[in-house]
Amino acid sequence: MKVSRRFKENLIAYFFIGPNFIGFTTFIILPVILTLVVSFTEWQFTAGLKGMKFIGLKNYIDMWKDDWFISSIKNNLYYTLGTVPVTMVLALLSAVALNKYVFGKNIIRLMFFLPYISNIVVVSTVWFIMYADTGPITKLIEQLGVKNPPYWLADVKWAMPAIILMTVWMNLGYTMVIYLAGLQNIPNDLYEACEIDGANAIQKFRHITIPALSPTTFFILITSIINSFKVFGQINIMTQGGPGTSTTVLVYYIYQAAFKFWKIGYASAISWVLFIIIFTITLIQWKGQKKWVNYM
Amino acid sequence: MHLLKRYNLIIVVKNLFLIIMAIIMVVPFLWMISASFKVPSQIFEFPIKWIPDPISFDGYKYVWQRPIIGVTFGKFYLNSIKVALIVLVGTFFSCSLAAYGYTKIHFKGRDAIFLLKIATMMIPFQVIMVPTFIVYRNLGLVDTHAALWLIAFLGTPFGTFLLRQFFLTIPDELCESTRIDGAGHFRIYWHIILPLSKPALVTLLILTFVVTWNDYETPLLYLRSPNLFTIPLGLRAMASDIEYSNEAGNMAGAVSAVVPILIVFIAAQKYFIKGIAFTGIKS
Repeated sequence: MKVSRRFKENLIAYFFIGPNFIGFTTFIILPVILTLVVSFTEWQFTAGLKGMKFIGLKNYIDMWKDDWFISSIKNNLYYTLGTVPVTMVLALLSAVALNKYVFGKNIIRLMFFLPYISNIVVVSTVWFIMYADTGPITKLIEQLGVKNPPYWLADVKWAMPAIILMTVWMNLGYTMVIYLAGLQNIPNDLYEACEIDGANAIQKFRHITIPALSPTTFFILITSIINSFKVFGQINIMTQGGPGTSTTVLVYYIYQAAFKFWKIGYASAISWVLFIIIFTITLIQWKGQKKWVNYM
Repeated sequence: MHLLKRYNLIIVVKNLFLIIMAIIMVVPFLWMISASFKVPSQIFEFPIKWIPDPISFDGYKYVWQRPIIGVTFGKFYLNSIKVALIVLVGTFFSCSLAAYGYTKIHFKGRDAIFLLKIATMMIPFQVIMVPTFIVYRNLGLVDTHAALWLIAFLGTPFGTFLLRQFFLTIPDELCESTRIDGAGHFRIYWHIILPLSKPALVTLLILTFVVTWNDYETPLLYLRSPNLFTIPLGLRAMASDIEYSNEAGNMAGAVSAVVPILIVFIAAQKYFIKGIAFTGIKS
């Protein structure tokens, strides 16, 4: 009687979590294994399974001789360094300013959030026209007295900064909202105690706000770095990795290798490199959470 | 007196910074709206004339009436609405059922399965994009809407996790006492857990709606026929149509794509911000 009840309980449990289990095994774990297996092969995709040829580590060796791949890593690092710190500093300052702001707080927050809730195609389409050589951004810079304004997306040197600028603008609202949530968790007594000691606003910011926000900052830093390695949409829409290879980033190169050149094995090998990068950052997060973070 | 002055100065600087930032955030959108009502020759006029004269609806007519790539914007709208609704239904049931299973039923291997599930959460879609495409292709799902909603019925990692965290806060005693009254798991799930979890469910559904509505990468990978395109992909196809595309039309399309999400956001800002804050706390 007891056994059959437990059996029944298990059966019901499998009904509840069954779909979820099938979901993450079929569409996450299986593809992860597939990526690994395929990364050791050269696969003529159109010939089906027969077209798969085992070539060992060749893909992993070849990629370091592939200039396009090397520059996609460099460009990605450029993008990471260009977007993450600037977004974080601006978001922190905006959050601190907005936190105690009284008049029309919700409207201001909505204004910051607009780019984040609009989709990447809308944002990219608008900025694409604004960056045009007859567009408002170029005109404004001319107005400010610059003689030869850059051609932005058509310029090897300026395409990546243009993408970075747009991305900072786009991600600012999201980062700011997370900082706002962090600010709300700082107890007010801390500030009051400091005021009694005669601390000014800048001292309070340095000695209370920044240390108390360190868990939030650490979380944002890690997720922003991870996200910066997933960038794809704006590159695909605005520059297609160009001009030249100046804006080709990792995911865009994987996409090109797989779906344009149909080099499935090679694309899978690069996917694993991406996976290792992201996995390493996640490990740093697990380790660092204890060490770095000041819970006060 | 001196101190007071300095204090005021800091507040002025703070608010000034905030307002300048907020204006920078909005200006591209104002420019987009303004340009969408302009005649093509005036779009690039500088200094910018914010209120168009004459006000032209050609951009909107172009987007909504003239079939580009064989399809008008109305079709993209219908496709987006259809996909979003199916995804919402799927997410609602699959995530809440799984979260119930992970929290309120004790069964063999529960913690191990959940740990495995958490581990899969950190694997980004981009890493498994290539083989996932192969799996979908073998399932015959390429160029169908099912490719966009199938996983919603299998409990998305984020949604299951969010609801699990919420269900954990509902005391087990509440379910136990009902069990003694003879109610089974399905009745507890439906009559106790779901009604108590309304805020979490609303948060999840709103976040899911925004993500689905804005998704560009999944449709780009799987859809080929223009008459299946959702709004982001349709807008992109229209904007890159060299022969017919024009700036006013592109901006009108962009405005048309943003309006529904803006309405949802304004109506449900509270839940939305809560959900975003949760993603920040979950680590």
